[in-house]
Amino acid sequence: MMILTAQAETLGLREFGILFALGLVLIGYFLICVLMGRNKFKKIEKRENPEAYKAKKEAAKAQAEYLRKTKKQRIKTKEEIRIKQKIIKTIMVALIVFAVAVCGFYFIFSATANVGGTMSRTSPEVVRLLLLEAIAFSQCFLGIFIIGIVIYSGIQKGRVKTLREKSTFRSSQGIVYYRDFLKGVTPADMSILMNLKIDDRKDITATILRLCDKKVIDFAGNRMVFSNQELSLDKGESELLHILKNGGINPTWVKNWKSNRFLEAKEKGFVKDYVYHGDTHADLFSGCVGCLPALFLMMLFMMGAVFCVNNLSSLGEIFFSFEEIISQTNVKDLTSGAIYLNGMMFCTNMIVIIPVFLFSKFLGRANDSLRNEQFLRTPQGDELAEKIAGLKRFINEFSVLSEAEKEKIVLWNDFLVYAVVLEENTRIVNDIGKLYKKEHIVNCSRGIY
Amino acid sequence: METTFIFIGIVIVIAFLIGFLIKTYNGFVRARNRVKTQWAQIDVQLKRRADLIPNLIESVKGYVKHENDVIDRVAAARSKMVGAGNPKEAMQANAELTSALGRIFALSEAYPTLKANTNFMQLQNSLGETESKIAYARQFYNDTVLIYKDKITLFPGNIFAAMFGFKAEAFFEADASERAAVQVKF
Repeated sequence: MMILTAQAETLGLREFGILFALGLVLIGYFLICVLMGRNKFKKIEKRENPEAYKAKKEAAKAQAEYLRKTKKQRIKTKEEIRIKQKIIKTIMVALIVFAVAVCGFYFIFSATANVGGTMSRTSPEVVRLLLLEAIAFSQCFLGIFIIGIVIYSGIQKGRVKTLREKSTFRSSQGIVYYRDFLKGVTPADMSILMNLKIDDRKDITATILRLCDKKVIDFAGNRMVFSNQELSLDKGESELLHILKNGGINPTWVKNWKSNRFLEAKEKGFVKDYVYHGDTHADLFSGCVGCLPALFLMMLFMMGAVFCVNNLSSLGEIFFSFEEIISQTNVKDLTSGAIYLNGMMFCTNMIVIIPVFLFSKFLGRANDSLRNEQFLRTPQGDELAEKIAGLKRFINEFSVLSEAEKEKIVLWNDFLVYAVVLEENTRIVNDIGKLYKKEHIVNCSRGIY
Repeated sequence: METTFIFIGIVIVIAFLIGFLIKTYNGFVRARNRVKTQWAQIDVQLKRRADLIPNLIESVKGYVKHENDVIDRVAAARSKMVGAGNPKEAMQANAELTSALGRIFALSEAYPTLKANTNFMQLQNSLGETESKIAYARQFYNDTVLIYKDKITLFPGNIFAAMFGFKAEAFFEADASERAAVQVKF
């Protein structure tokens, strides 16, 4: 804002005000058009297809009632925490690189600057000036690096948003801790209800552990041993047992196994296909309104950049002015020039960074939609998800199952399986993961070692 | 100027220490409350078990007219469990009740009509389920005691625990009769 007001004084407050007001009028006009269009389409729909319109209204009313009775709750997953940590580390790296660049440029300018008169290199005014110059040059030379960081952070932010949406469910029972077994729910079902995803390693490990609990598989040192016990296994367990006995797990099989588990969860009524039933016009309106803050910010920065570019000739003067001898008479002007340069660099960078960040965030979200089928939890799924959240909290706060080994399955039974599915125990995932290889499998019934 | 910086530094350090103390104290209280909560869960299951016994006795009485001593043992063990004054007594009484119930279930093998009775079968399943729940509740109780014990014995928590008077809780351990090998007589 400093740079804008400084330029406003140069160009005239009137011109600045006119441009600002014009921008607001354009945004207002845009909003009115969208609002009028929305109402017009609604009237057409009501006239041409009244039954469908009525059904849509009733469905929206039922949905609103359901949303009123329930409240949002989320199961925090380790993947979300991992991605957030990656974003923080990336930003820290960027800040460190920027700080190193600023320090580097400062030392170079400090060593090469011509200081005269009563000023010295350690005078506060000279230090301030050299720092400002260093910051401006760092912004210029690290531009591509900063954009790279922004793209990466944007994509990760988009992924986090998708993960958060998928692990959010509607709670109605007020469960804080759930201490019982979940009957009729497999590890894959739990994983799907947790975050609408199946994780290869974790969920296959949990299923193997369940087979171990049912005495179908045993662990002998670093080998898996199959017994001849024939128990009622569900489809996922049977498929896994079959592949472990006959060939070992491969990526194609994993893909099919995951797909089958989603179909199973659909059949049980825990999830349904994502089909858009919303109000297109309302969503279009919300989407347009949502873009407004970003557009407004961009408009401000563009205005700042325009004002700066209008005085582009001054820019050249500023760059060459840094070669002048710094003295008591010109240090103030040089400092103003450095502030102006920083403002210009900042505005220009923001004009690029904001849309790049928004687009990268969109890419991060779109990536999941394009790669995976989309599902939603049903009300029954929401109820189970609430129990799963309570179970996760209970295992996290009331046990040390995070440190249990796979042999403890005889003591903990399904609770240890839940601990693996709910990401409370990663040790077992690593231990059993090593046993997937064919040479680690022993088949008792065929006597193959 | 220097004095101001030193003063600000001391204030920051003191604020940090107070914050750390508050966080540690609250952590101890939370861990201790979880131990108590988990014990209450064992109690809930014991009470649930005790509530099922009268129905069981009524189902069995009509069939096993000459096995009153077995029924009396179950009733006595149940009364002892309901009247227990502390958790240790309650668990001892529960162990006696389990032994007495074992005799009733073994007895049902000699009375096919009793064994086939749906009410009896349902009660037998419910009692078995409750016994499993008690076992899991005990395991979770021991875990909460371990978490609490780690908090108050590991450094630097042990310093603050001694200061605030937090003491370790006892693990639930099976007594000698529960650990002894089960004798099966045919």
